[in-house]
Amino acid sequence: MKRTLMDRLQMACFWVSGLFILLVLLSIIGYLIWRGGPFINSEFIMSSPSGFPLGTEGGIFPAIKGTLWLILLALIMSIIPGLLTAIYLSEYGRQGQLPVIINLLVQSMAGVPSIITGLFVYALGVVTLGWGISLLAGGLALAIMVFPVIVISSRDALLAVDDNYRLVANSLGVSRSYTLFRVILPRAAAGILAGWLLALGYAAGATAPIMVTAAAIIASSSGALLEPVMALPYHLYILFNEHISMNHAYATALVLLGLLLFINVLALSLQSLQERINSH
Amino acid sequence: MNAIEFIDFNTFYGSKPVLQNINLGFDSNSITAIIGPSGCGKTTLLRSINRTAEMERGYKSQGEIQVFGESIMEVKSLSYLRRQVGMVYQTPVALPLSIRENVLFGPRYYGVKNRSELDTITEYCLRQVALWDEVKDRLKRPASQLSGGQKQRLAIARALAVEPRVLLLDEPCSSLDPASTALIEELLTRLAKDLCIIIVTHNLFQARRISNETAFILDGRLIEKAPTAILFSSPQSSETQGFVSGLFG
Repeated sequence: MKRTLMDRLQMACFWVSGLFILLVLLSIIGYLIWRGGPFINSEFIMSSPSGFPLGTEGGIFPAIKGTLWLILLALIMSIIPGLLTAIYLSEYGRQGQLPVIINLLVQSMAGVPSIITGLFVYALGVVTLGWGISLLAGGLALAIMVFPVIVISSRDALLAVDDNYRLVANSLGVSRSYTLFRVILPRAAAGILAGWLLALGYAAGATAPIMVTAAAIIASSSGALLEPVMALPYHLYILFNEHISMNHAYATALVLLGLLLFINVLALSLQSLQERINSH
Repeated sequence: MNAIEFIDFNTFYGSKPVLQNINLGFDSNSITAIIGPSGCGKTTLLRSINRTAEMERGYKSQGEIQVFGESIMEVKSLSYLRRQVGMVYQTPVALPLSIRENVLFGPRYYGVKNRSELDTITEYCLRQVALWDEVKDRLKRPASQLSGGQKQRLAIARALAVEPRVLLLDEPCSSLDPASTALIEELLTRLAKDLCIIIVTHNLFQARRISNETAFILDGRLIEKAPTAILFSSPQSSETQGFVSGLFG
C-alpha cells in the first residue's frame, strides 16, 4: 500500500515536471504568436526592411535569405571534415592514443563559447585574410561552431551499426572502404543526416558568431561570399535592442522559431527512422 | 600436405597466455571438430587462422600457422589469406543487403562484373547450402527477412562465393533449432568433399555426427587429436575421457 503511494507520488512528480516544460515551450510559442502573428503576412516575408528608422516598415526577406545562406555555407564547410573525422573515429581509430586525443579535442571544441569562435574568425578571416564582414566569414564561424556536433552525431550513428557486419566483411577479405560504402554508411545514413539537420538548426539560431563576422543591419543577402548578409537572429537583436519595432521583432522571432521547429522536427523524424533501422 | 598446420603456436591477450604450444594439422577434404570447455581457447584458435583474432585489443601470437604451406604472417595480403579461409560465426549475420547481394558481397569486391557470371555464382552458392529453392523467387528482397537457420546458410553461401579452400565455423548451430541444425550438418558433410572444414562446437553429439577427426583443447593446450570414433570411444588421456563422458564441461 505504502509502496503504491510512493510510486504514484513519483509518477505525479514526473508528470508535473514534464507538463511544466511543455507549458514553458507552449507559452513561448503562444506569446510569440499573439504578439508577432498579426504582423506576419506575405509582404513581411517577401520584402526588405524599410521605413525610418530602418525596420519599422517592410519585411525580413533578406534576413531569411541571409540565414539560409549562412547555414548552408556552414554545413558545406563542416560536413566533409566532420564526416571524415567521424569515419576515422568509428572505423579506423579503434585503438591507440590518437583517437582518444581527437575525441578530447572535439569535446573541447564543443565547449568553446560561440562568441570566441566568432572573434577568432574575425581576427583570422575578416582582418588578416581581408575578407571583411562577409557571408564567407560568418559561414566559417558557424562551421567551426557546428563541427563538433557533426562529428559526434555522425560518429555515434556509425558506431551504432552492428559490429557483426564489420566482422563478417573483414573475414571475406574485402577492404574497409568497400564495407564502409556498401554497408556501414547506408546503414547509418539517416542518423548522419539527422545530425546535419540538428547542426543546421543550431547554426540558424546562433547570434554571437555572426555578429562580429557576417551580419549587417541592411544587406541584400545575394549569396555573394565577400558581402555582408542580414540574418534572422541578428535582425531580431537589432529591432529589439534599438527599440525599432517590437511588433516586427516578435514577428521575426516567430519566423525564426518556425524555421527551427521545422528543421528539428525533420531531424527527429530521421532519428526515429534510424532507430527503426537499427532495431531491424 | 595438411591444409592447415599449427607449429609451436602460442597466443596471448596482454600478458595472459591463451593458446600454448599448439602443434596441430588439419586435413583437406575432411571435417575436424574442435571441442573443449568454454574459455579454453577454441575460438581464438579458429580466429587465429584467418587473422581476425588480431582485431581484438591486446592479442599477440608466437609461432607459425601455415595454410597450404604458406605462413599466414608472410602471405602477400590479408585479403589473399581471407579469401582462402572463409569463416562463419555463431550469430547468423545477414548483411543489410538483398539475399543476392549478400552472396555477391565478396565476388563484387574481387571484380566479378559480368551479369550472367554473377547470376551463376548466386545460384551455385545458394544451391550448395540448400537455400536456392527457398529463396529463388525473392533474391532481391532484404536478407533480414530470412529465419535464423536460413541466415546461417546464407552466411555459408556468402563465404563460399569467394571460393575458399578452408571453411571455419564457430559454433554455427548454437542458436538454431534442430531442423536447421540437421540441414547445416548435412551440407557441411557434402562440402567437405572439396574443402577443409574446421568446426568449433559445444555439442559433442554434433562433433560425433559430422566430424572425421576431433581435437580436444583444455586450458589453451591441445590434449588430444584423433579420428572422431576413436577419440570418443577410447581416448588416450584421462582428461579427454572425463570431458567426453560429461564429467566436466
